[in-house]
Amino acid sequence: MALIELKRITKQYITGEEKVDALKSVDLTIEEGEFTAIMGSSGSGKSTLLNILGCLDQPTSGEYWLNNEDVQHLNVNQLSDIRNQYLGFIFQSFHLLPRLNVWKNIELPMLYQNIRKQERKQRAKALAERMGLRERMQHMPSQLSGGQRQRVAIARALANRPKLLLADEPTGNLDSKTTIEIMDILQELNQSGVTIILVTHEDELIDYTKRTIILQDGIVIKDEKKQLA
Amino acid sequence: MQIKNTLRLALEQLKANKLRTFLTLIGIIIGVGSVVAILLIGESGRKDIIGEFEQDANQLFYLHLDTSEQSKKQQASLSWRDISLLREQYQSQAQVAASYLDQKEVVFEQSTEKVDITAVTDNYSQVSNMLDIAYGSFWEEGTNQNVVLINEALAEGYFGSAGQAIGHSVMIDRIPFTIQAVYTTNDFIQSGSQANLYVPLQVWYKIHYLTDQPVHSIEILTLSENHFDQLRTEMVRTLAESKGVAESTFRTQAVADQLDMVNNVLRIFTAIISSVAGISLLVGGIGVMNIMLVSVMERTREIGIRKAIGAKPRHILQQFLIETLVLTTLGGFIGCLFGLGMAMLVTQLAEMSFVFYWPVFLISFCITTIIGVLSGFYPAKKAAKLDPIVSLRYE
Repeated sequence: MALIELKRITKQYITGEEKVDALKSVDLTIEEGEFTAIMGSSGSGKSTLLNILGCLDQPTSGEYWLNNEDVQHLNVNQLSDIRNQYLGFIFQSFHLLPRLNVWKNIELPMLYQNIRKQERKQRAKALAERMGLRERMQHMPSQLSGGQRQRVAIARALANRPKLLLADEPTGNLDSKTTIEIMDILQELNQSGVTIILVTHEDELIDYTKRTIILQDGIVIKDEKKQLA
Repeated sequence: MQIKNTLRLALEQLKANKLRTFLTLIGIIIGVGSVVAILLIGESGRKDIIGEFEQDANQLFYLHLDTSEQSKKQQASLSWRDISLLREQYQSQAQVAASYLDQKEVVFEQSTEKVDITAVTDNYSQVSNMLDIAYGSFWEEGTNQNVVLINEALAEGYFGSAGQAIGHSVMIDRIPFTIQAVYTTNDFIQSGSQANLYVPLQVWYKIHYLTDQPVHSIEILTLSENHFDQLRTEMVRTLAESKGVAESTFRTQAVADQLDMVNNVLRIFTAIISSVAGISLLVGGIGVMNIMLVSVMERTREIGIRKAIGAKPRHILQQFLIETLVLTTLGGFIGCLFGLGMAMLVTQLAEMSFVFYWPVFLISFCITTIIGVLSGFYPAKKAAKLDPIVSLRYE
């Protein structure tokens, strides 16, 4: 069974009198262990798709199966649990909480799952170490560089050992050197078994992914799996 | 998410915005402070004014003729005979004292003044708690000496000080009386009455040839509280029967009635001032709600992030509600200290004894909790309802 199965997903926004079809019948299957890039120009529907995949938004029609669960019929609290336990988010502008230090930021998803303090500390420490942030545990986000902040965000996304990482333009605010650094981390994570969906408009990032999906006007116009060389 | 973490988070949030926290709290601090101060001062004042009376308030009553128009026609009067009757009949149940009111020209040293005179029985000071002997002592039982008790104001006015007045003589109706003691009255109960001198009743009868031995008021102290009301009606009946008049000829007045009245007046007074202070609490509460709404708005992105990583609406609600509660409780705590200080200062300035009335703090804790919930709920609910996608994009 696939990790993600989208069947005839549509999303319609109503702004005033105008109806906008952001997604027009999208079918998509993603297996566990994939590293997929979703590309497209702005307005192509890629953000909408990511929001639906991330259980932040509900489709207008269609079916969404995530890890064999029918996400369509879950309530607000159940969706929160899904996001907390199955999903990890990485954003373009990092979205760390500015008043919490690195350690507390990494710890945050575990708090909502009532994990004990000792375990929280242990996991946060391990993650920080894995991201090369061992010396930065007590630092505030404002004291970190962009790349370091994104690494904190990745550590936070991994805190509850998610099945799926959703990265929304994770390198959009980073220079080319840091971009490589972050993409290397993502690739490494994928190799260790985490499924990743990467939304981007930077063509060069495709080198890191195994599959590319291109959206245009709410339709998948290209779905290409790389041949393993 | 455990309450402990939310609590720490709230404290950090408030600490990060110290000035704003303080400004927000001023309303609550002033409100709680005034309520606490007023209640404490009120309670101290109440204890001060009527505290000593409360002791035997439930055992003391006064009996006199009803002077309203209707009963005047009955031509009844009270005299020493009635005192003797009551003393005899209720010997084991009550102490009976009596007083007769007069007004005379009194010569103090060189000056003359028209003064109210109360001639009282020898047990008067034991029965009534009206007199507080400051210097000297009450006359001995069965005295036939011309002795007089004068009040502090007169003593200070004519003899320099209360202590120096003792032993001097004053002329009442051209008859010398020796000053035996100086007393202070409890102004509150005695308000309006000008009974400035106390003399022995039997001496007064003799000097002024009052052969029918009239009495104006009978003071009765029951030996226990248990049969107070019963004795009150029984004594009236006994007197009415012995004179062959209606019971309505007499009126009784209990100290407890007066104290109840005083208490009620004080309570109403306190309640009115407190409710005025309550307005400040209302304003403070609105201020807190306002600042929490601003805070929710400012932290829209934070709320979005928290929701994206798995916070449920109730987590967000809890976070903001607890933050508001911490805020108002902190204000309440500071307000309590503020009010306590104010009450201590005022009671000291007014030379009252300070009474620490601890329920005040419980009350203010309850008030601030209620304010916290009321003013925090709406902003918290608003925060909990925010759409994560919209809040994540919020700049």
